[in-house]
This record gives sequence, structure tokens and C-alpha cells, in this order.
Amino acid sequence: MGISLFSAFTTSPFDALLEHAEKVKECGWAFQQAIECHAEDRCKRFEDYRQEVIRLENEADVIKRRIRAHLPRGGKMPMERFQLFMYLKEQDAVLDSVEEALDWISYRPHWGSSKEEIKEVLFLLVDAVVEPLEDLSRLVAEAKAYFQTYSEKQRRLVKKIIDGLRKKEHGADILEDELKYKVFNIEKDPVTIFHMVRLAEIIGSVADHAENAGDMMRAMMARRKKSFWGK
Amino acid sequence: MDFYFFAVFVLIGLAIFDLIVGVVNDAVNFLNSSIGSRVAPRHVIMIIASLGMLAGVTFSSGMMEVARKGIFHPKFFVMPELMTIFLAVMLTDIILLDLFNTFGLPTSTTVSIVFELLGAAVAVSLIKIYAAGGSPLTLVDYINTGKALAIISGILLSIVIAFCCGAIIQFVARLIFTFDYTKRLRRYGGIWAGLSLAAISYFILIKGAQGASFITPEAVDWINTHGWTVLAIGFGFFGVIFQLLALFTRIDILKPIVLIGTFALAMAFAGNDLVNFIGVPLAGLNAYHVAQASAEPLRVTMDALERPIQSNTFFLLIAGAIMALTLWVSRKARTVTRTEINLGRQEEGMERFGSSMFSRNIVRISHTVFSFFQKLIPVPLKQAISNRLDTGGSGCLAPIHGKVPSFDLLRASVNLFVASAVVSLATSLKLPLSTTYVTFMVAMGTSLSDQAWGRESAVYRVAGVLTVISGWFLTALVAFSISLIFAVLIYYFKSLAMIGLLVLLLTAVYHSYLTHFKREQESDVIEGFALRDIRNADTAIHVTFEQTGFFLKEVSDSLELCFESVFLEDRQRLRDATTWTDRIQKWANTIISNIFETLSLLRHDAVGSTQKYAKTIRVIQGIAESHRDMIKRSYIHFEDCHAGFEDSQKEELGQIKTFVTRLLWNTSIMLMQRKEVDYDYIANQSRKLKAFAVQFDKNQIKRIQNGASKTSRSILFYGLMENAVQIAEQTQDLLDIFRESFQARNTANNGACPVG
Repeated sequence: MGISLFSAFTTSPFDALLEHAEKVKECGWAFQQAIECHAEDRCKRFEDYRQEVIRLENEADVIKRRIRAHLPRGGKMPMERFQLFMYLKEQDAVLDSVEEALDWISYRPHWGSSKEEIKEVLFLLVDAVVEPLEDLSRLVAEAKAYFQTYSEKQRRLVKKIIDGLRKKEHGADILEDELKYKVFNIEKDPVTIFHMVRLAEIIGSVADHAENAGDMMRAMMARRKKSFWGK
Repeated sequence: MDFYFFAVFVLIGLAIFDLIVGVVNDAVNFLNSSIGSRVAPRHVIMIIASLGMLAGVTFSSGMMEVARKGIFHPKFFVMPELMTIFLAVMLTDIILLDLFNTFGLPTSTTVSIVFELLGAAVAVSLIKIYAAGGSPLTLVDYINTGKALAIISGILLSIVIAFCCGAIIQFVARLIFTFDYTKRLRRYGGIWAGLSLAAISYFILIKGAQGASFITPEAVDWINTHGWTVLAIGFGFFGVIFQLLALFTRIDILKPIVLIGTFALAMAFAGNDLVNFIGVPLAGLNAYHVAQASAEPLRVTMDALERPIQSNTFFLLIAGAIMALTLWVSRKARTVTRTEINLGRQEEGMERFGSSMFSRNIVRISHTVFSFFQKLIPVPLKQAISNRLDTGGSGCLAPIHGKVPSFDLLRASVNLFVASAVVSLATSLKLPLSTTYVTFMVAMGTSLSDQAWGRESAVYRVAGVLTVISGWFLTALVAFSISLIFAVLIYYFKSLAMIGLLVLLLTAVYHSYLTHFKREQESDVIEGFALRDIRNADTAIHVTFEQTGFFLKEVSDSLELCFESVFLEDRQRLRDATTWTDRIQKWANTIISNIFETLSLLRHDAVGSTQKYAKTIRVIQGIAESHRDMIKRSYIHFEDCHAGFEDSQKEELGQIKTFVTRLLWNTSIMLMQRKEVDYDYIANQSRKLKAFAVQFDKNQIKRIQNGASKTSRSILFYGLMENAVQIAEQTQDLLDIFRESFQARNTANNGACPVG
């Protein structure tokens, strides 16, 4: 792998971006654990997981501020600064959505719906939104490698991950709709219906933000490094 | 002339670089004994070594014979030809030494400079002969062939003599003093101190006095002709003083011996090896001055370089300052030193070098020969010897400032005493010897005698020694050929070649810096894993679990890379992944050896928990083996040009990857952050993984029946899936142990978690 001389004297913002993405991934798992725990009557650790998500979100915020403060100025970066900020914003929004979802659940401490059919789809939806979060760190790692080498092979790989994010978001959308459909048709209590529908939307937005992050990465890659021959 | 003026500047710049890489490589010669035995805090050792180097620079004769006329006859060359030779030599020297430093292999700077001079001089001479239409046989007129042959024989001689002397003298010293030497040192330590310091001070005189301006030539002659008298005076003087110190004070008399020896070797290094680094650039400067002073600067022959020239003291002092600074700040110097210390360390542990067929055979043959001779020794004598050489409890070295020394002070003093004696003897007999080769081989000889190369480590240590020795021969070969090529390029392409080679040099140095940085990071992680200074069972358990968490995260990342590479059919990435298998195997071994240490710290009545940690060993080994199997299978599959997976198979394996990496990561987080184990979550993920595996197995059978999946592809598919399931099961087992341990210990400690 070729490494530019410039990179020897600077710290890549992608290192911190990767650190942030790993917090997102960790947060996704804590979220999954929290939902599984909340669905179990005997589980008493939901609040622990919610607090863990809050902690992870705070840690990610620190990383976000560090990235913003230490971003190289001028034309030293292979992409526009605002594009990187936008990417970071979307990646960070994932955490906000996760936190919001757990907050929303915490407003109704007792599980709103004990219907197995609804729980099953909810778990599938959570699974479906956690997967794109796991892909974000790989996306950042591969993108970092791309911006170092500008190899076509690496570019195709990053694009493939972004396509995967889109597909997974689409899968999550379908499950979100299915959950809403089941809630409307199975539940009778209007408060539960409102609570569950809103929850489905918030959880769905997690995958939306992951997809948006992928799109921002795609935009960053659009500004290709100029060829030596000026072509 | 402009090009040659520029060339002089380049040579001076390269001299600074060369000084740095040279010190980095040679520092091991004088630091090995003191750092390995931890005779004093590191900064004290460094101060003594720096003082030794500065003294060496002051004593330095500054005679640059080797560079100017040692290898070729300057009267046959003109200034442009000499500049070509010197530039090629310096560029090669830096690249070569830096490469050796990066991999932590000590080599001889004298051998490298001599063979570089030889290569470049041969290249330029042949070009000259060819241009003049002469016979290639006339090359012997241009080259000082005798010197090259003497150095080659010197290499072979120093390897054998130094190793044998080190082994024999260490054996005798250990027979006299044993491993528990404190009492015996009080009784007859004066004799040992007299012998060691007489040899070391004679070494200082013979190596240092020859160039010192304040010692008259008559005095130097007297020292050279009255070697035995000097030794006898030294023996008597130091023997009496140190015997009195041993009897009436609490001073450990071996400490001053080791520190004085370190000073002496550092001084000898600065006094003698300095010419290897700055000799060539200064010879270039001389040649330029001589040429400028003549009417035809480009055609005048360099006869003037045959005459002795005293180097500028200012240059020598600057060189000394650069060397001292490098010694303090260079991390590569530590790497080179670590190689030698680790090859000779008394205790077992992680070995840097892997075994080879050659090393295994050497060990087997040596073992057979040794067993045969053992039978010839009478039993009472054998018993007496083994009693004296019994490492027993004394063999386990006590930690100094929390770190265990690699060997004791007696061995350190033997290293310095024998190295000084061998080099002094060779110098007085005018035999060319490399200080690096002597100090290295003496250190290896003494460690062999001290039984540091036991059955558990011998093959690795022998492999390490063979690697270093083969590196020495490689030094000569590579130095000669690269320098020859560089000289040809510079001769024909002048400034274009010089700029190109400078770019090559910078790139090589930059890449070696990156390589070294990565290797250092890896070795830091491995060192961080060692449980050397932990004496408390609870802390050891905590640290071991944390390390296991770190290990699982690495396995998870590596598997992610493996699966993705398989999906992309990317052989390069799979090759990268195979390098991870070695690292993960090393980590697994370190954690396992830590668990053994933890077991030894646990109370004897804690049989239940003891069995639990033993189970952890099986689990960690299992994970490491499954991981290695997955990566090796995948790598070989694509190396053998087999087809990749179909989309449906990729999708299924993608699911398996998601679950197994998620499981590993989450377990890793729980272990590293000592979180309360959410066993249900992990069990749930593991259950899902197994359910998927059952379903995918059925799908695969259908694909096989339809002929959609070829044999090799099916083997890989099952290999990846089954290993992933095994890793998941083992991770769950590990979590069981973790949960039980913490429940048990937290109850015992009333909920308090000891901090590791």
C-alpha cells in the first residue's frame, strides 16, 4: 500500500472517524441488548443499557469535537471540509436516534405490547438497523485506505459497502412498515399504538442515518485526486 | 566542478545519517551486558556509555586509512572517480545499516564499509580498465585484495573464537562461583575482579592510548611490547582493592566491573568505528581539496591521499555529540539491543525467532553428542559439576525496579571481560576482528554455558543466532553488490543518478521507519501482555481476562477481514490476514503462559478455580486454532486458483460473519470493561448463529446435489461455517468462566473489584 509523504506528518481525520464509528457500533449492540432486555419481564438491566448508550454517546461527542477542532485547513484534505462534517453529523445522528429510541421506551417502563407477533418483528427490525451500524466502521476503514491509495479496486469496495448500507436500510424500511401494520391491526390501546408506531419510526431512522452517512461518503469520494498528467 | 562541490555537501549530509544508523547498530556492543543485567538504572548506564563515547572521540586517532587507501590504491584514481566511489559507499551504507536496524539485527559496520568500498572500487576500476582496453586481470593493481580476504577470515575466526572463549570462561566462572555467588564473591571475588579489570584496562590502553595525543609514541610502544606487565600490574592493583571492598564493604563488586567494562567498550567503539561513518565523507572532502589545489582538478591523480592525514578535532567532536544524542533517543537502538539480550536471557518466555529445520537439527545433534560425552564422565565428577551448576532457586533472578534482569552480573562481567580480552589480543596480534561479532558471540557462548538455552528454548535461540550470523555474511554480499551498482549508476548518470539515489534512500528510510514503528507497536502489545511483575492472584486474573478481551477483539477484526477478502476473492488481503494468524497465535501463547503464572499464584486449596483457569487455556487455544484454520483454508483456496462463492453462499456466510464477529466483540467488551455479563444476549446471538448454520447446511446440501457448488468450494464453505460455530461455542464457554470467576471472587471480596 502506498503512503503519501504528507501523511507521515499529519494525523488522518479518518482515524478519529473510525474511533467514532466504533462507538456507534458499540452503541448499536447496547441498544440491541436493551431492547431484548426490555422485552423480557425478568430483565432489570434496561436502565443500565440506556445509561451505557448515554455514556457512549457522550464519548462519541468528545471524539466529534476533537475531529472538528483538529481538521487540517486549506487544501490538505482530499475532500471538502463541509463534506466531512456532514458525514460526521450523519454518523453522530445515528447515536442520537438510538438514544432517543431508548428514552422513548423508558417513558413507558412496562412493555407496551406483550404480543409475541409484534415482539418478533420488533426484534427483526432492531437486528436490521444494527447491521448497518456494524458496517459503518468498515466503511470508514476502507475509505481511509481509498484516500491513501486512490486505487480503483478500493473505490469499488467502498461503493459496495455503501450499496450494502442502502440495501440494509431498505430492508429496515420494510420491517418498519410491517411493524406498524401489525401494531395497527393487533393492538387496541391507542396509547400503545402511538407509542409503538413512534418507536418503529425512531428505530427506522437509525438505519436512515447510516444510509445518509454512506451517501455522504460517496459524495466525498466523488472529488477524485487529480491525475499526475492533468487528465 | 559544480557537481563535485554539490557531491561534497551531499557526502557531509550523508555522514550525519550514517553516524545515526551506525550508532544504532553498534550500541548493542557496549550496552548488552549492562542493560541485560540491569546493573544500574537505564539513565546511569546511558550516561556512562555516553562518557565512554566522548572519551573515545577524544582518544580517536582520526586516521581514515580504511576509507582512503585501505581497500584501493588512490594513486590510480582521479577525484571524480573517488567521488563516485564515496557517494555509492555512503548511500549503500545507510540503506543497509538502516535495514538491519529495522529488523533488530546487529551487524558489523566495519565489514559493511569495507565491502561497500570494495564493490564501488571494483566497479570504477573495471570501467577504467574497459575504457583503457586493458585486461580485467589488472584489477588487482587497483584493489587491495589482501585486506578483503583478511576481513573475511576475521569474520570466521571471530565467530568461532569468541563463542568458544565465552562458553569456556563462563563455565569455569560458574563452576567457581555457582549461581548463588554472593558468599563466594566475598571469599575470592578479588581474583575475579583483578582478572576482569586487568583485561578491560589493558583493552582501554591498547584501543584508546594509540590515538591519544597526550600519550607519547614511546609510551604506546612500551604498552604494546609490555602487555603482560600491564596485565600483571592491573591484576595486582584491582585484585587487592576489590578484595578489600568485598570483605569490608557491602558493595557488589561486580557492578563496578560491568560499568567500567561498558565504558571501555563504548570508548573503543567511538575511537575505532567512528571512521566507518565519517571516514568516507572526510576522504571525499580531502580529495576535493587536493583536486582544487591542482591546475587540472579533474585529471590529477589522488596520490596525496596515500599520506596520513589527521582529522579535524572539531568534526570528531560533532560526530561524538551526534552519536551520544542518538544513543539516548533512538528506539531502533533499543530494538537491536533487545535482540541480543533476548537471545541470551536466562528465563524462558516468548521467543522472537521461530525454529527452523537447521536449528532443530543442530540442537538434536548437540544433544546427542552431549549425552554421549556425559556417559564418559565419571558419576561423582558429573554429580559435583551438576551441583555447582544447579540453577536451583538462585537461577530465578530477582526483579530490579519491577523488572527481571535477563541474566546476572557474573555473566555480564564475563561478557565484558572476554570480549575485551579477545579484541585486545586480536589487536595486539594485528588480526582484523569485528567488535560486533566478538561481543555477540561471547554473549551467546556465555548464555549457552549458563544453560539459558534449555530444551524449551534452544531451537529458537539457535535459529536466532543463525539468523544474525547469516545476516553478517549477507552484509558483505549485499554491501558489495549494491555499492557496485550504485557506483556504475553514478559514474554514468552523474547528478541524475545521485538525485535518484537520494530519493531512493529517503523512501527506503521512510519505509523502514514505518516498518519499525509497526513492529515496535506489536512487540509493545506482546510485552504489555506479560505478567512479569504481578504477584497477586486477583490482579493476575483481572489482567488475564482483560488481555483475553483484547485478544477476542483482534480475532473478530481478523475474521472480518478474512470473510470480506473471501467475498471479494482478494488474495492480497488474505495474505495480510495470514500475518494476523501468527500474531494471534503469539498472543494466545502469551495469555496461556500468563494463566500458568496465575495458577501458580492461586492458593493450593483453590482446586476448583484452578481447574476453571486451566479450561480457559483449552478455550483460547481452540479459538486461535479455529481462527488460523479459517484463514489458512481461505488463503490456500484462492492461492490454488479455485472459484469464489456464489451470491447465495456469500449472503449466508455474511450472516455467519455478522454473528460471530458480534459475539466476539461483545464478549471482548465485557471482558475488557469488566461489565456484568449479559449472558442471555450472548446466548441468544449464539443460538441464532447455530440456527443459521443448520439452515445454511441444508441449503449447501441442496447446492451440492444440484451440482451448483464444486468440492473445493463446499469444503471452504463448511470450513468457515463450522469453525465460526466452534468459535462461538468457545466464546460462550469463556464467558461462563468469566461470569463464575467474578461471581465467586466478588462474593469472596465482598463485592470489591481489585484493580489490575
